[in-house]
Amino acid sequence: MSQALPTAERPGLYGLDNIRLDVPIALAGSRSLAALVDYSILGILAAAVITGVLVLAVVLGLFESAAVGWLFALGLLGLFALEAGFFAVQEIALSGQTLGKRLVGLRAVASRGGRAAPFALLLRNLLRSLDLLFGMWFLLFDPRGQRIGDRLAGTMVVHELPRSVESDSVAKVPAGWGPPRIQIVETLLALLDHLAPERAEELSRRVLEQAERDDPGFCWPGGPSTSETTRLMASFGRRRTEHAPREGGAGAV
Amino acid sequence: MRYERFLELGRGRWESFGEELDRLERRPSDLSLQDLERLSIDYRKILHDHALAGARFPGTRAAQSLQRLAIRANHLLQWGEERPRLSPLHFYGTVFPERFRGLAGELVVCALLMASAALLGLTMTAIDPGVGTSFLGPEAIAGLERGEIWTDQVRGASSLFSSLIATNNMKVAMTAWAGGVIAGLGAFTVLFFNGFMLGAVVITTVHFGMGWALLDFIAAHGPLELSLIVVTAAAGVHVGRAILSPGVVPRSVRVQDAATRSALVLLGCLPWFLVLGLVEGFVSPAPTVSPFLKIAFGLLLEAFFLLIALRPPRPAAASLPARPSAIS
Repeated sequence: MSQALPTAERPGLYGLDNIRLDVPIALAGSRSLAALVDYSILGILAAAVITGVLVLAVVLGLFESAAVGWLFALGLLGLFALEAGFFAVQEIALSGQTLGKRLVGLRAVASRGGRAAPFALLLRNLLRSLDLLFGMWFLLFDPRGQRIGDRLAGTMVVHELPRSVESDSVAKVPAGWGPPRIQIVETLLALLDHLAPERAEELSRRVLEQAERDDPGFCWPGGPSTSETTRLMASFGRRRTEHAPREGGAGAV
Repeated sequence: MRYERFLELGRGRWESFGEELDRLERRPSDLSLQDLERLSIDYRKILHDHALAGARFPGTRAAQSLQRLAIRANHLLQWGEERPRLSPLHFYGTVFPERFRGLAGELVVCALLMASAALLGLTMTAIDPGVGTSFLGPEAIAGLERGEIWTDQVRGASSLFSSLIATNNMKVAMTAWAGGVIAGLGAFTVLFFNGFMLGAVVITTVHFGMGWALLDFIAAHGPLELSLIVVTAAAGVHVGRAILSPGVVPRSVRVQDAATRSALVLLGCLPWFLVLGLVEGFVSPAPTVSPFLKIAFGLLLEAFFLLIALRPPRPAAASLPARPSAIS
């Protein structure tokens, strides 16, 4: 949803020197999915506590004694602790993630994008009961997806980003090519392994023809049996594959 | 600048910065102060590269990679406000009383509201006894007519009852606090309902000549229980008040500050509910403990809580920072 909006309208935050960062804010869909997973786990755990208490009472033969009251009392406290602490404890222990969030790839962070402090994570979960009633409205209509707990604690939920820096970028560009064309080539290079061979050949040939028209001598000629995809990678000097060096061409660095 | 040149100049720095971030994420304790200083300088460079890539080469892989790198670094290097670790002694000795005193206005309003609701419940039940019946139910009323009070049921199941009461009271307290966020309405509702019910129940039991039996039951836990409900509701109202009238600071900042302060009061009250649960389960229904002893115990418990809550500030006491990250 945020991707469709113009930059000025997209929710974001500002890093040092007021430089804008378009953080991938998690909205209603992904957060509901994570919540579904979490509440399912919570339900299973609650059922496990109840079953455990009952089994223990039967196994130890406590039903006839006064001790059964203590066992049930502990079970009740356990259920309360589970209900009240399930989300907060996980988020504090897993740096802003619950099991559901981890599965869906989300993380609760401070509203400036940094790590959320443990107390902020505790605070956002103290308001969960209220958010179960009204939170969805905030998730649907707030561009930053901040439910009531997030607003009070100064947190928000974002999508996790891949750890590694991608190196699919091209190393050489034909003279006069701007970002849109570079983007096309880089996308094609990233997708080459996933396309049908004949389709990859066709698209590579078309890109090479365009590059040759715009910057004669840019493309690596290759041999008679060299495929178009190999020529494409060699011509644009895709870093990952370390292909043959370019022999001449105006776009050389 | 051409794209290739941009990549050539920056790639090495971006990759080593990414590796440093990986290291920071995996084992933050491995990083020295110098490492962190270097990282923060590099972070600034990365941010500028990201801004340049976004402006000159939007949508390219380099721009996307730098965007991810900048966001990751922002997350890893910028920590939310970290509160100092508190020992229970420091919390109840300094922090809790400080936050409690900050709620003075709300406490007076909430106490008055609850007292008024109790008076209203008492008056309405005196006029129409059906009000009391609607709260207690026909079985409890039938018991009162026979000279039995419903609180006798607690005997024999004290442990389970304690746990039930403690968890229920904690839920009520958390609801009252959270309800304060809706401009204080939730907290006021909890106060009004509890006050009204108290008034109605008291006059009903007095009507059946069982007032002494009720006093015998509630004397040990009642004073503190009512106080805790008022305190947690006042903490919620504090947040609602910040929403309605934030003053000169932005509303979001004021509300976050109020929520943090009042949540500490709520958290400070929760353990008291566990104590109350035990008292209500074991002391209050005990026929062997005399009513006068229960009254004395209840007053002592209340005095102990107030002694902690109203403890005067120590001149050299270190106070918690009030969310500098939000205010600065």
